[in-house]
Amino acid sequence: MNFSLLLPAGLFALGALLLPLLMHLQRRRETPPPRLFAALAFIDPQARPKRRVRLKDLPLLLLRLLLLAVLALLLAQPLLSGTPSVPWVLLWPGLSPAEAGAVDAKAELRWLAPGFPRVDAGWPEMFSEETHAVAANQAGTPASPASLLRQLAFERPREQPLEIRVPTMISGLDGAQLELGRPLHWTLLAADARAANAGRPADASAPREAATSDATVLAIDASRRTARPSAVADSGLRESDSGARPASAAPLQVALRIGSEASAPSAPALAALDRHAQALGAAALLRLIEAAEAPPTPPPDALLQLGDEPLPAAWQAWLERGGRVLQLVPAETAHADHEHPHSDSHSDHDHDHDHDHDHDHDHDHDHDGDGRPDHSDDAHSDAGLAQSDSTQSESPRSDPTRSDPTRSDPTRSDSTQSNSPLASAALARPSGAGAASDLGAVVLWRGARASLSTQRSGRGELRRLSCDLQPSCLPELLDPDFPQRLAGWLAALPAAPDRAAAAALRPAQSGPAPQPLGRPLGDGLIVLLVLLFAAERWLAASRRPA
Amino acid sequence: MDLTGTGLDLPADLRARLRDLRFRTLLDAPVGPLGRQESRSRGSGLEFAQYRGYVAGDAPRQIDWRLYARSDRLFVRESERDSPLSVYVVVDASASMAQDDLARPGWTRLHAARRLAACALEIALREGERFGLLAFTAGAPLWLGANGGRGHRDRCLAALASLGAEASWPNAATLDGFAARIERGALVLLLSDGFEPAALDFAQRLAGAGRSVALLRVLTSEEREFPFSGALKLVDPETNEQRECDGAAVRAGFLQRFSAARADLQQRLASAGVACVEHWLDLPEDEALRALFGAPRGGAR
Repeated sequence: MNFSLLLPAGLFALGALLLPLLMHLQRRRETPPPRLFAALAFIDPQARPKRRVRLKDLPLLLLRLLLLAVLALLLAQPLLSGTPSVPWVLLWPGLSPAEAGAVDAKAELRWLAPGFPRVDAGWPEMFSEETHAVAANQAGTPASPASLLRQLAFERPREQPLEIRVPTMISGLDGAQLELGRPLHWTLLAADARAANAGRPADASAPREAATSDATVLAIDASRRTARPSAVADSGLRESDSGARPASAAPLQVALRIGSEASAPSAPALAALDRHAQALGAAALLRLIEAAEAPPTPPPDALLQLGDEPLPAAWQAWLERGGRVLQLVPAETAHADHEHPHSDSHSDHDHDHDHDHDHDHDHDHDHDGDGRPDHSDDAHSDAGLAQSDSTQSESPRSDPTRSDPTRSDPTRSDSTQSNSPLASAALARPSGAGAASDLGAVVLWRGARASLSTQRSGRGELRRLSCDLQPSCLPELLDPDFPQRLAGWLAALPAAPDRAAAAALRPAQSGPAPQPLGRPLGDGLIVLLVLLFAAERWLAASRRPA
Repeated sequence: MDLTGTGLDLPADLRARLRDLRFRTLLDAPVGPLGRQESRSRGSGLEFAQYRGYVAGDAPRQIDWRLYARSDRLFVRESERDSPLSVYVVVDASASMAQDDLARPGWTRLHAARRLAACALEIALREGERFGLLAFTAGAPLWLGANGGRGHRDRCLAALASLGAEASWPNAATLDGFAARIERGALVLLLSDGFEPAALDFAQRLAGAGRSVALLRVLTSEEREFPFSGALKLVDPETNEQRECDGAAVRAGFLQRFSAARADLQQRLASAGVACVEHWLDLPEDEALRALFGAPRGGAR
């Protein structure tokens, strides 16, 4: 058992010991009351008052000194070091103990899971969904293997050998490199052993993969396609299954729906939209199909709704199942929504009553009167849908206001929304599409006078642009690259790449050093400090009665 | 007259112990009429001296009733004493007399001096001596000429009760003037702490001019034992000089120096014909008086 200090500079606080000494000395220097003494002439004129170092209230002083010394010791973070523990061999989630290979007799085989449970203890329980939910609630984010790896590397002392056994392809990574600050054995297991694990319960990254695979990902913004972080590219991140696919393989299938007359955009706006759609169609980026009361049989990739109208029930259900709606809200409505957040639900409610009874009729009328050619093509839709199970290798957009909808925002994760009755009720009501409820809304883009916000609705995504294609509120409408921008607004957000070859992800030894081996004594010292403080107060109060 | 708290009210035991004390001359100084004092003639003398008006406290038998019958007024017939010993009590009222004792706070040197004066007046009244009082107060000097009787004793007590320790000694000319009013051969009891050179000089001048002078030096027990320890801040009441010192450090030096000074002063006063007796504040007052007047020196004549 050795005693060491993590922060020896904290011992400088011992200088504070001078304070009580000075306090107790200063009280001693009080001059006695003067006394008449007529025989003063017979006192030795050379005699000086003796400056004796007298300390008053010695027990109290000692107690105060002890208090400060303990405080300084607490600041220095004492550590009672113990003996190094046995080596650990950690299995990447998704591996089975059978394929872990030979393990040293002294070493312990553990899971790379929250709490690092032993493999002997059985692991299906540890990896159940409830455990994940608890861990996610406690930490705020679901515990990813990368985060667990950092935690492990920091918490285990440097003297303890660690070995991580990983499959050749791993997921559950994040944007940062693994800098663990310590040597670590990074053992790759054979790829064929992994094939036996098909029936294994999903690891932490599995739900996210499922969530991203059924969303259509397409090439979006031509002007931003060139930006590509080099660090991620160099680290060997690439697409796992289908590889990189050309971005413009299939155009985006977008259904167009025009709301009631009151909220319908003006003719010039429609003409501009038409022009842009044609430009996008020419570039094979977008195909507009006309929307009926219900989604067509091959569902489109996105719905472009003009006007601040509630969606029909069929479209709403499609949205809840994972659809994507871009709603162009007239500028004054959006403005009123922002100005009066408390009254918007009420006004929306009235608005719904005004237009609910002739809603279907308006829709049909608009559909007919638009005269838009029907470009619905089943073959193209199938191609677009076939693309949907592959993830996209596009670089993440560098928009700082954008956040990954599948992580780091607990209010937007599916499990949280489905667990919260308030959120689900707010999103499931029919007028929820039109209501500018700010619950979970994230601003994706902010222009000079308009902004694009997105919001989860079931498994789908409802985006609202606070402008109805008027140049007055959307000056970007006049830019030559607005079609690409519009296509990007209609496209799904690209998923972050998180699968990589484990061989390329060997952790670096740089980074924060691991926590030293030992048991910190801070808690006991705090208790001692509180006791000493109470004793000091009691003694000080009893010494000088008021 | 309420004398409580002034030191002038004599306790009964002290009054009892004063019973066997009698004034006598102290040194082998001028003799003159003092030789007849041993006759101890009491009461009025044989030779008529004067008539004076009756004052309250005079004995009825001293009244000349024949004269009262003639003039319808009360007169007291006074005669010359056979042994006209006058006792003058001189009380020092300087600021240093305000010093009290640590063992008995509030009992100052002035209290002790008043009590000694009251004792002396009591003895003088009992012995039938004439007595007077002199004190230098802040205003006019307090002078009560030599006289006898209870009324005069009471006047002296009242004057003493109003005495405060704030005055200082006057210059030599004024002192000489009062010295001249004290007749030759009188007994002068100087009640002082002996720290003022003027008082000592006055005593020596009186002794040199044929008066029998005794200095009752009133000292505190602190000046005898110096019981202080630790930090001290001492103030000289005469000069207001202040000095901080450590009690234990200066104790030995002070005691040695002060006892030497006391012995030197006694020696000096004795050579000048002044008897000196020290009275400590924590000791009974009759002890100092007994040292002066108690045991007959050289036996009865």
